Amino acid sequence: MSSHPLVQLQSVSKSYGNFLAVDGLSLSVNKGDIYGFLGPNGSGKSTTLRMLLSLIKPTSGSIAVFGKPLMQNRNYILSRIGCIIEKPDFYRYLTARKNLELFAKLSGITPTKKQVDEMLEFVGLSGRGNDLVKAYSHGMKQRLGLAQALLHNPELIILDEPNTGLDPVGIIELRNMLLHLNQQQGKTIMLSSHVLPEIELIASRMVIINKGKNIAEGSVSELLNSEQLITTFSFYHDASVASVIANSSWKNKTISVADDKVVVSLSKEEVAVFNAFLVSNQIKITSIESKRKLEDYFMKLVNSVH
Amino acid sequence: MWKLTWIELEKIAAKPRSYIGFIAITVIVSIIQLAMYADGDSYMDFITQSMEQSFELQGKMLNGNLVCFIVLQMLIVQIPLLVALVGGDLVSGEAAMGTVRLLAAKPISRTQIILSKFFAGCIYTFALLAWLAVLALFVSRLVFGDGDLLVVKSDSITILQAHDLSWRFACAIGIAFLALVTVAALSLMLSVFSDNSIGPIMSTMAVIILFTIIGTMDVPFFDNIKPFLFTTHMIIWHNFFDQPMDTHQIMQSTLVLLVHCVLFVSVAVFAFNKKDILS
Repeated sequence: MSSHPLVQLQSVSKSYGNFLAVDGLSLSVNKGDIYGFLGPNGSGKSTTLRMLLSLIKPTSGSIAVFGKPLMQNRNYILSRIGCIIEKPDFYRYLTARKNLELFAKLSGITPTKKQVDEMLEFVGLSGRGNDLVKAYSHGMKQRLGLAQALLHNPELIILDEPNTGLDPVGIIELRNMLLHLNQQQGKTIMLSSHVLPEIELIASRMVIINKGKNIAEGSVSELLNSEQLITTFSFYHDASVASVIANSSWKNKTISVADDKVVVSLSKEEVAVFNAFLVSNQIKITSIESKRKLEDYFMKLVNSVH
Repeated sequence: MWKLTWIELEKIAAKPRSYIGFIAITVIVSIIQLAMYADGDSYMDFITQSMEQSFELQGKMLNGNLVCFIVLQMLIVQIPLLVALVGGDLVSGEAAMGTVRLLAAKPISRTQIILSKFFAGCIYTFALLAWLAVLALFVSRLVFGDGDLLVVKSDSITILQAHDLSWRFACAIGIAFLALVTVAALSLMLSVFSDNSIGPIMSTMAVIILFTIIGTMDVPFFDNIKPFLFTTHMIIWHNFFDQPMDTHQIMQSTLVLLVHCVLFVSVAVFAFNKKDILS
């Protein structure tokens, strides 16, 4: 992946009266990234994405997209972006096809019928293009929203909470579509989500914000590898395990001990060493299960900011 | 800009509320025509009874031109509501539906968005008036025939010859169009400040009612502001049926209406450009 920054925010702030929604936020999205944008409700995610789309003007700071300042090159930049902001709203009294044609025209292209058909098929709405949008379910609108965001073939796709309202099958399908767009078509994708495991599954880089501030940014693997793994070692019933651990240097890393399992907090490298320690003490291990939860990491960071 | 305006027209055409105006005009004009057809002679007796002692009126006074004139007098006051119904929804309707986010995130300037909506509103207004003209003038002439127009005022009567009327109706509808475009511009401006359609529609009507009341009150305090109220000039179409015609007053009213139009649209453009889209 190239390291050329496609989106760059520098010390961006947005205030509404005395309320500071975004506080000196800096971040950069590289070309080819699937960039996760995480934060609890009211953390400033949507405000930031809206500023990126010029829906809201920053109080201070600078935003550059495709290497150009946003406000001075607004139309050029927006013609290369596809987006769903907050929820996919359409003209309910028009058909899905008409909505797609209309928004594509506003993006500067006049799509052919074939292009619209192909896009509807890509998002799983083939055969429903001539239905009025008011007859669509939320999940169908999300799909239509994605079709709208993609029809003018943008380089950067910005999606605000795209999983909201989707059923599990819809979430998996959306994830696969986004991965396809990123890996097969080279699209850069920036998405916010409160479904944290979803970000873990899909994003290559991410930022976590809280109270409008950047509290962590980097590649998902880097950020998560720095974290301890919560690992459960299960074994055949053995009453001696507690004393074996209590008399060792591992006792400080132990979360809980029972006669048939021990839960420890270890780094990736330490898992193998602890396993060898148990084996050397004649403990017959039946399974090892490690959990590295983005949710735990996320909560720890969020709670650290006051 | 034409492409954007066309898109706006497509949206207006797809909305059921856009047809309320056409239906209302059709129903009201038809009722007036039916009433005139059924009992027009009684109506004529009523409006001419005061002058029968001074004048002898001969010929067919109840004709298509008179019916059209009556329709215009009755409807020009009501049509602003029909225009506000669509104009007040142009921006606020998008905000209520959530589509304003997508619209404002497209590579078109916000000024273009407002201007295209304004032009679409103008075209819609023109279509409404054209429909009114077709029904009120052409259908009335078909049903009641052509003839001279008797214009009765409180202090005078004017009889305009049939061959001298078509251009007067065209000019009257033209200036009525400008007056209604001013209403469209006002409702568009109010629409920028709201996230639902009801507010701008009601506010537009409230402004028109308020200004009309001020305009009709015989209070010296209001005399200085009356010439600057756009509602004072909305009935200027009437002047085209005066003999002689007060062209100076017509020009002045046209100018006042144009200034209001430009002012309202400018405020709409400025406010929409400054607005944070939060809906």
